[in-house]
Amino acid sequence: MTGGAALTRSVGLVSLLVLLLGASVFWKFWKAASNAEDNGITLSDMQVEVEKQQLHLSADARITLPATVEAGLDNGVPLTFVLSLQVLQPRTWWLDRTIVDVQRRYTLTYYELTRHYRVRTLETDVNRNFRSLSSALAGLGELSPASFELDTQQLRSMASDDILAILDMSLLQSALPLPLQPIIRSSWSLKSPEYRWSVI
Amino acid sequence: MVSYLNILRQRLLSSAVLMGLLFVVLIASLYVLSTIALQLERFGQFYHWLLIGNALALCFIAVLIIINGWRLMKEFRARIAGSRLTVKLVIVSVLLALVPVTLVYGFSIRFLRANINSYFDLEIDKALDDALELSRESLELQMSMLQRDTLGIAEQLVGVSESVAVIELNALTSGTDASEMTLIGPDNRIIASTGLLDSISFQPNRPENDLVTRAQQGLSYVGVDPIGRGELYIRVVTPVFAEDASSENSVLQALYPIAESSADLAESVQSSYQQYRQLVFLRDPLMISSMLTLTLALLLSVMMALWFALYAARRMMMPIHDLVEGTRSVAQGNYATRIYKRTQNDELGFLVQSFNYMTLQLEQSRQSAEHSQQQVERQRARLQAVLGQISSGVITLDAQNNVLTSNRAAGSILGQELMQIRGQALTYDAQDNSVVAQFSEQVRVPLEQHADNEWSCEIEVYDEGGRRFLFCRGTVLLDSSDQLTGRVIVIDDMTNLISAQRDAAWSEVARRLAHEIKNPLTPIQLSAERLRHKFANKLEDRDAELLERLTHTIENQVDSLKGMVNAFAEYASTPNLTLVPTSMNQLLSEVADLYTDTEHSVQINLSLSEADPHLSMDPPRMRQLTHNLVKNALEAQQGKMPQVVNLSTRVRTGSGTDMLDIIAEDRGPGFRLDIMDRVFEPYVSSKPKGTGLGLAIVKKIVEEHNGKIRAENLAGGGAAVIISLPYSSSLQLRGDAA
Repeated sequence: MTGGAALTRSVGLVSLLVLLLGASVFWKFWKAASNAEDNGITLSDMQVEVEKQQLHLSADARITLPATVEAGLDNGVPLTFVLSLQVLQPRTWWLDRTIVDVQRRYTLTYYELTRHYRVRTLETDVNRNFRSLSSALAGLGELSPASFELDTQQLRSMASDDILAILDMSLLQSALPLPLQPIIRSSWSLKSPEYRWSVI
Repeated sequence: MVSYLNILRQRLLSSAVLMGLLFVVLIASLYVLSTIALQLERFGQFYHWLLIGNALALCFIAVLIIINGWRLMKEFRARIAGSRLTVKLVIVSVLLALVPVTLVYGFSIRFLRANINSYFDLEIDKALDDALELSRESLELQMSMLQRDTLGIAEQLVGVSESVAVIELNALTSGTDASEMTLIGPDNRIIASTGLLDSISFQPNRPENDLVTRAQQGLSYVGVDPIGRGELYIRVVTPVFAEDASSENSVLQALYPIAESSADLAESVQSSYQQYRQLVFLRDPLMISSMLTLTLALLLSVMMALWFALYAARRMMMPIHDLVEGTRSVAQGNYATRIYKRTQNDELGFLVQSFNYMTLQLEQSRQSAEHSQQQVERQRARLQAVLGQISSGVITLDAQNNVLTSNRAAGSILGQELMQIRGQALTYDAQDNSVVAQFSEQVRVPLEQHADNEWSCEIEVYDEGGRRFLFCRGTVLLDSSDQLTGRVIVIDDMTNLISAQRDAAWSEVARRLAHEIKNPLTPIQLSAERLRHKFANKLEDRDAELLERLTHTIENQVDSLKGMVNAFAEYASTPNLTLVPTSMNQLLSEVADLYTDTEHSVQINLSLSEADPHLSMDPPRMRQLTHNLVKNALEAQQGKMPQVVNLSTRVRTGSGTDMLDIIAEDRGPGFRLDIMDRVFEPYVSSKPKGTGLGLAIVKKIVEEHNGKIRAENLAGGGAAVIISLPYSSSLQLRGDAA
């Protein structure tokens, strides 16, 4: 009987350990996938304007690539950056209402033959070519003018007083080559802090 | 039982289906993981979730396996039927699965490494570098030619005023392959441009500011630049020197398209090179990713094997478990055990079917055996009832003459000691003098002499009631193969029969005697009287005296003969009894009172039972019995003073019938031992006087009242006659009421 109880205890312990292992794996991936550290990108001079049915966004992003990422870029790994803008109507007793949630993606690629960098805006299919990485990053950082179409409902909501805008930019890790996926390290994690400001 | 098994079976099936689905999903996800390769745009974002989901599902399955394994171990420790075999099956299955899977895994890793490493060959590396370099040189050749052409145009533009610059530029461009030419003034303003590439905005392609600045400082630039979506152009930026050195230089940019074939080749080289470099860069991650997928596949396979081993073993063991439980149940005597047949067509199903058939047969056999046994029991009970009711004693012996059974009559003939030797040999060496011992002693000889056939003999035994005659017959019991299985002895107590025959004979004698003797007695007496009357006066004194004496003697003897004849008549008579419930104590007291004399020569001591039961009796006959007893006792003490007679009664209960004992004791010389057996027969007497019929009549009266009588000598001298009369308690009550 004592042996049975000990066995029950040990089995319970092993099951718990396996579950903990699973949870830790889950946590690691979750963190790596969604909660990258804020570094590498800083945003400044944000401006949001609504004009006619357009939302105009202008901001400057200063992007610093870690050595690993730069090596990847030089070895042909395309980098996809995501600029994400959310306009929210804060609510005290409820979740904030999202009025606008737009994204713009930029791909930075290096071409060895011509030794130049190309920045492509995926949504507008606009290509810009740069002969140096610094100029390419600077070009990528000039986010203005980024314009987004708004519908009537959004426009009406935007007209109210208390509006919160959240802007951030990050390296889209899911767009990295598959073999990099299981071993994404912090060096591949580029993310700006969330930039919040009230729109009046 | 069956419904529970059905539920269990359904649960097992449903769990198998669920697990099967889970495994299919996991295999599919692993397949996706391994095949989506570089389709990042579509699957990249799912990759993590696939990995996480797989890991979690594997953890879940691991927990399930642990729980299953734990249950199995618990069953194993509890020694539940089939668990040991299940454990063995699981171990064998897991080993069978693990060994090949581990081998394949090891070799896969090895091949994976070798394959991935083989992609990256130094030769290929160099070839690609060379190809890139060749492309560059080919382009540079074109570039140097075009740079020279552009420099010529720039020289021709020196001194051209802004107003005619467009016309001049157009004229110069028309002679070249340039797609677009732009003249930028010293103030960085575009002065003129031709052949605009951008057909949408009609904006000339403006060189980057650093190139303009360099050109203004007199430094030319030539390079292959992608324009717009990546079409390659050779860009030449060259200064257009001012006429006077003090003025700033203008800048001329010319864009030349690269020949389509060259462009395609360059693009192809670029693309291949880029892919190759990317592969080289991703070599380690690719290895890790592949190994991860492979490891997940291995884990999945192992867990599938484990779970399936547990599942299959449990399922396979179910009928065996049932069989073991069923066998135990049957061993405990539960022949109604049936096993639920889980499978139809395999050997286990056949085994289960056979088991069920066997238990059915067993049950039927047992029922038939029980039926037979009941019949035998009934017959035995009937036989016992018959044997219990017959008056002959029946004793059965086994082949070794051990007493097996005996009926009630045997017990009453041979005494209660018969029960004590049940199971023992009948021919035992008796140490006592019980009836059984005497019987055993006497039947030993015929039993040994007639070991295998029938015999009969008469034997005599002695008990407290005196001598008894037993007629014994023996026979052997044989089985179907004529083997001796036992013996039967039938005993008939002939004592009463013989006694009755003797009594009947005596009664007949007495009746005839009375009849034959009584008739001539009266004439003899009358004749004697007449003789005396007639001759008394005629004879002389002496003769007259003689006559007187002789006739007197005749008369006396005739009187005596008359008395004797009356006694015989009485003995032979069979009076009709008038039974009345009467107190024996009272009757004895009345009789005793008659013998009390004033001289105290006779002393009757009464010691009467307090119970004083009323017996159903004929009071005159019983009174005569008492008189006879007392007279007999007194006669035995002839010559003694005083003559003491002790009359006592005692009640005996408990041994079937209630009995009242009447004991008459005297202080005479006691019965002679040689006549002890026959003291109650007529003319058997140790006394000089008496008819010899007193005790015979007593015995007759006792037997008329269904009683028993026996005589014994007392230890301290004297004799006792003990009469036992049956009475019933209900009669006593009636007597009390009366």
